[in-house]
Amino acid sequence: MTTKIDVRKFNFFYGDFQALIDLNLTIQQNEITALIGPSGCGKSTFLRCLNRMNDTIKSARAEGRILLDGKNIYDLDIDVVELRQRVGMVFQRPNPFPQSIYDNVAFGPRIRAQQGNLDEIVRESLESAGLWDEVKSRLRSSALHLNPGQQQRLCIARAIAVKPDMILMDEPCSALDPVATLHVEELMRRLVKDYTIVIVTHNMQQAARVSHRTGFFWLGKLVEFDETSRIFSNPKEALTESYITGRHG
Amino acid sequence: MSPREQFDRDLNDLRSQVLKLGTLVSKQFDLALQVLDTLDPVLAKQIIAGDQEINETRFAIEAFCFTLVATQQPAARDLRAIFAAMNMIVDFERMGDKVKDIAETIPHILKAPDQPRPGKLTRMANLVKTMLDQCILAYANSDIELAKDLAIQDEKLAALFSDVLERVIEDLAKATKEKKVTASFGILRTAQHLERIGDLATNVAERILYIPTGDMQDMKAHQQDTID
Repeated sequence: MTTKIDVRKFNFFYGDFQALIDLNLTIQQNEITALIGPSGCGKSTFLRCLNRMNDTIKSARAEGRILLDGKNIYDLDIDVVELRQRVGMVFQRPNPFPQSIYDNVAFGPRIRAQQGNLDEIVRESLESAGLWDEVKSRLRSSALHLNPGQQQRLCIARAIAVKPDMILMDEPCSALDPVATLHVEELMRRLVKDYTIVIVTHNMQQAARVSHRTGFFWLGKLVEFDETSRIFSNPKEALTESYITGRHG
Repeated sequence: MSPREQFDRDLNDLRSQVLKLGTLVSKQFDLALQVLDTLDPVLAKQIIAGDQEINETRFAIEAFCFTLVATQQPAARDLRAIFAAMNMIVDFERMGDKVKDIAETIPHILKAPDQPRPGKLTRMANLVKTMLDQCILAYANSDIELAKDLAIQDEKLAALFSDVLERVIEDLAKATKEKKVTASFGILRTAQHLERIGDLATNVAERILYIPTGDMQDMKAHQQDTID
């Protein structure tokens, strides 16, 4: 096992409100880590701290360290644009650009003037996202014509086109039907061979099905972090048990 | 209001159904105690017929467990409680089978009804009855200590079984008539069935421990394999 992310004494504030309290955890490379907890518990805030997307919020302030491959991403010399290329994000609702399927995937590599044949990058990314066979004959048609499940996989293809190390997913299946959800989950299992994935989900069965480790957040604190099989069969903390059995939260 | 009131009711219902099954087995065992005393062939047939209700109850509970797993997505302690119940009902149903098997030995023992039976056979039967009721009570009250105590009872049962076995072997060595051999064989089989029921009661105790702890423990690990 190789540590990809090492979080040490991390606190996060929105103005006077402390959203994350003294977090300590490690995220392993080539694993899927699921973050669960009730709305407002801090799990999405934490996810967005992993590529500093919260920097755009004026009153936001971070303390402590998040080490990515040993380097603190909150150090002053960190290039945030490069960080977000290394740590990609897929959002709750599929958000393809109002452009062709091809241009959506080619967007990142183009603006980064990425090395390599663009057609190949687009093809490889769509293949990795399990979408190539469905769209190869209509790459120039609008991405908005795809169904929601395909759009979400297109967004994943767009995220991996810039060759990140990690993919963050914020409730990536909440707008999808059950079959499209299972497609994305299967895709995650394939992608984790090459990437480290962190997923925020309200769907506990999804966390149980797809992840290697699970963290349970409650009121900004990480109550428990353990192997997923342990969390869902015999958690150590009563609060975790209460939440995953649906009796609290 | 708990967000899982209905599910909590279902889990309580499941516990009641498992206890009902255990009680059915215990009542059947009461009849087995009687039949070992009286060697009444009519009562033996009644015991054999009574096993059907135990089997049906077990399958109904299994179907209920299946529905709970399929519809409620249980996790953690809830999941353990359901899986423990699914294991326990199999153990109770097998205990019922063994009680029926005991009843089926009666025609063999009746071949030589005057042949003295080992006193420790009755002690075995009484101890098994205690163990059976003890595991039911431990499950009803989630009483870990009472469940753990079954391992000690099981050791006592194993010692009694060993003595009975020795005595039956002596009887067989002395037996000159086929009828006496058949009767001794019936007694031997009865002792084996009793010993097995004790084992199964210990299995139930293991599941009672598993529900709150999540630990799978073999309470019989220190014992030698028993004859089934």
